[in-house]
Amino acid sequence: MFGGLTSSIVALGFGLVGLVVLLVVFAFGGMLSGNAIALAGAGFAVFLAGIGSTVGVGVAGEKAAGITAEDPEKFGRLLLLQALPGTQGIYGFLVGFLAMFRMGAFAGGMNLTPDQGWQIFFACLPVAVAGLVSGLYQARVSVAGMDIVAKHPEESGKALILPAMVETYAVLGLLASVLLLMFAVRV
Amino acid sequence: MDEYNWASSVGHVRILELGLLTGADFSKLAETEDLRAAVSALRDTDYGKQLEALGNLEEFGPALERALGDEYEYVLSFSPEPGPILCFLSKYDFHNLKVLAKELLLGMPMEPRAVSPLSIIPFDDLRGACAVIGEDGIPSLLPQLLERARSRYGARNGHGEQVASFVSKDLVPALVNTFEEARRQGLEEGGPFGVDSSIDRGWMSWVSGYYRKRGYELLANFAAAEADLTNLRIVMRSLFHGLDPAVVTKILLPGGTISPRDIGDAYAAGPEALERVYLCVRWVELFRRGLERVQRRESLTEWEKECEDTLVEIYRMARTRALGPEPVLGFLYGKENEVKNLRIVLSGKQSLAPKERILARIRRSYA
Repeated sequence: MFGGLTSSIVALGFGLVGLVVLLVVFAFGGMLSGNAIALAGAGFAVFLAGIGSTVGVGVAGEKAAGITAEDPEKFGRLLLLQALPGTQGIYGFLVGFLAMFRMGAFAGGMNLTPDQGWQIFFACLPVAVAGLVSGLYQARVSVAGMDIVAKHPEESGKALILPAMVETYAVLGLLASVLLLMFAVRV
Repeated sequence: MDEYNWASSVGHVRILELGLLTGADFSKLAETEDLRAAVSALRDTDYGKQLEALGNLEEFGPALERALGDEYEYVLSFSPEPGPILCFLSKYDFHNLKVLAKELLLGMPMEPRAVSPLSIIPFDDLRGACAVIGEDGIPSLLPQLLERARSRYGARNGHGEQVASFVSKDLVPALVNTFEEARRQGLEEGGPFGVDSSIDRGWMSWVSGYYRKRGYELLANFAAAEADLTNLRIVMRSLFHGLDPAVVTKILLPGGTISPRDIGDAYAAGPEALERVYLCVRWVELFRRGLERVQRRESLTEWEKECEDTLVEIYRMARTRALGPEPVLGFLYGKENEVKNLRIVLSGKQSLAPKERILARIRRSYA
């Protein structure tokens, strides 16, 4: 579906699974503290959701640049569509920030048990995975929506609604991670 | 093949598509009083610059070709990789190869107007290369071929090296093989018909193989549809004229969804067998309408136009794709179709043909 990009994302997915397995092995071998596991979770939230947004905004920007090169007046309408896949990165960052807050990173001391570390790690996963996947798919819809803007500028509103539907699932991922961190994680 | 690489090119193309002439535009052109009025109505289009520069309005053919060439160069200038577009343009090289093969192999006099200036390899270079095929002379000519091809389609976009690589690794070997096959076929059959059909088969087989090998599935499907619809027209014409099955099998194109052998066998067995073959593909209704005309001994011209319109419909699928090379090639196909339609309108105006006759010949617009 994404051509060469699909292979890169599948490779990335395998890499991450490998990383999680390594984390588990190190954690059970007593080589990782709860702090390290929790920080890995926060890192995943920012990193994966950020990848989704980077690719999404990048490809949407390329398409917008192509249209603007031929018709500069459409820039304003295209900018909104380009920005939409960028929200996942912000959600990932928010969750990463919240996770660090719950770890006590801003209070000057972090002393989590491995069990607490794993709780934070898994609480961060919803936004990480939903952000990555929804960012890529939202980009596809945004890019297709740009065709509407190019051909029927008067229908730009409809072009915005379609990618906004994909946003729902990024927001659900964000909500799940926030609720888990705020109410389910015991630290 | 990463379709994301084509995002910017598709953006360009979406705006360029807005400039394509619609069916209504062609109707208006057909309604104009004479050739001068029709050319004047085209003043604000992409063709205006080339047509206005004409001293003699009757020479509109080369002006339209120049406009098409400019469009190809422009599209190449913003494409991330030139391969699929050059493959699309290679039809002009193969067309020139037909002209040359008939001159070199059969001694037929060459008509300069038959040569296409849109080929990737300039005609004179192709002539020089074809003259030495079989004497191991191509390698010595290759640098010259590459240099000219590079400056023709690679100069404006920094694709020079990719154009050179396409010419040396893909196009030249395909042209050499096709020329050799045409030589063999021409000697066997001793006529221009054998040479032309051999080159057509060589081109279609190479183009569909190129797209499939590089993962351009939709482009390969377009090529397959083109082969299918051409074969369908060959079959109907052959049925109409009662051609020998052995001849028909030799001129059918490869690369379609039905193999030439299956069509040839069914052709030999009769119309019912042909219908059974076409039942499993989407052209069955078109086949039935064509067969009815053949059985009633009616002209196939209108039905053939329907086949061409069907192909335009297939290419129009590219308009719904947001990424990938398909929208870019679809646009180029639409532009080519537009030039064909303009030729029909302008030559109709030139010969003072009535509006209805011009409109009946116009193909469906890609716009």
